[in-house]
Amino acid sequence: MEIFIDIEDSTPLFAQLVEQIKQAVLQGNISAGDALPSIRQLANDLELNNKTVAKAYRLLERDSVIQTKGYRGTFIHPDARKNSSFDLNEWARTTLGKTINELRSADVTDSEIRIAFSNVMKS
Amino acid sequence: MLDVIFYVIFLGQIFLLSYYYPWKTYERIAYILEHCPPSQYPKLYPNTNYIDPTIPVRGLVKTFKTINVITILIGVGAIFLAAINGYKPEGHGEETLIGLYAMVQFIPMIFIEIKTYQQNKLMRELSKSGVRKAQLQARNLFDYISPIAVAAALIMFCLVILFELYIANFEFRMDQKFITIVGVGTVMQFFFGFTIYWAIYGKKQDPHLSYEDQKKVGSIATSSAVYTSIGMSVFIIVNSAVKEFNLSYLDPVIMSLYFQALAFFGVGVIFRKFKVEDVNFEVYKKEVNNNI
Repeated sequence: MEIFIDIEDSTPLFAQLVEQIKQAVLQGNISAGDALPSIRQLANDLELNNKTVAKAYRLLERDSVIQTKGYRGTFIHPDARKNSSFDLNEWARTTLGKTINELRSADVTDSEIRIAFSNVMKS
Repeated sequence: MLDVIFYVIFLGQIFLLSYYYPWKTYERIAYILEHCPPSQYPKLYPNTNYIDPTIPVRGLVKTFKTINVITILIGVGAIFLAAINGYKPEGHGEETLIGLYAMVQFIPMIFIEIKTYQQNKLMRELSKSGVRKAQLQARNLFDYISPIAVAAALIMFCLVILFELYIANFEFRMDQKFITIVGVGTVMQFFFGFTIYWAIYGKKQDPHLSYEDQKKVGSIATSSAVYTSIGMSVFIIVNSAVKEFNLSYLDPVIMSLYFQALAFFGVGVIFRKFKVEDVNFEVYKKEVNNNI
């Protein structure tokens, strides 16, 4: 299974990687238990920085799409298919959107929302 | 009797290193020039400084052939001189000359390797694009070589150390010989390890090569490193045994056989495992722009 990275695309490289690996899982090109290339191998093949691939793997691990088994390597998570269809970014946008709409309907100004959001993020 | 065996083996060295494998290399290049013309396979000829891009390749072949012919003449001349002077192998340092001659014989192969490296570099520079691709597949050492071969290489290196200790009656002495053998041996094992790592996980040298062919190239480099490691260990053991049991007159024969084995496992593996007819040359064809 081949993956492509477009370095001229406006989408960040790590996000392209995350998206492609999720798509590969959803399309059944890779399935639960399949071994993924090591960070160094993939970074070398795609001529990317190790940190970029590591970041993509970290996000995929957080979403339970992949799992790292120590020195044995990185594998596709048993629930990867289910978890790949769940877009955490989209969910964050929707939830935040609902909250902002609620605040706006209560006549809270955008500037007040920004300050509150910033304070909550800092705390 | 030994002198006849020596002459036959040395002739074998001349044949294998300066005729047989160079001829196989030449056939390979000739096949590519015949079946993959620049008009249809432009990516195969990245040197665009010539109207006919095959000119630098033909020049390379000419130099390659010339060096090999000179090497054959030196070797045959040496045999002739030795024969008329009634030379008999005695192990008074002639093995050094045989080793040096073998190194000279390897020069054309190294020359081809350097040129291939330069060509690949040029290909990479020309094929730089915004889109990069990779296989989403883990590569492991044992996809490239059998665990038995790797275990054999490690066991052989342990045997080298054991044999050296046996010669010293298992009295551990950090003398110069022991340090040289174990130290150089260990450095070489690390070097082979690095070669294997680079072949499996390193950057793709030829940017157009298909994944299957890339795997074959990696497999060849890995096999070559592992078998060379085994050969080196065998050589060290045999060499030590020869010195220990006062069989120095066998040194020239052993040296010649060692370099032939190196060529068989290091160079021969390319021709056995990666036949030119099986290479996917489609990847070097001109890309058709479907957007037009």
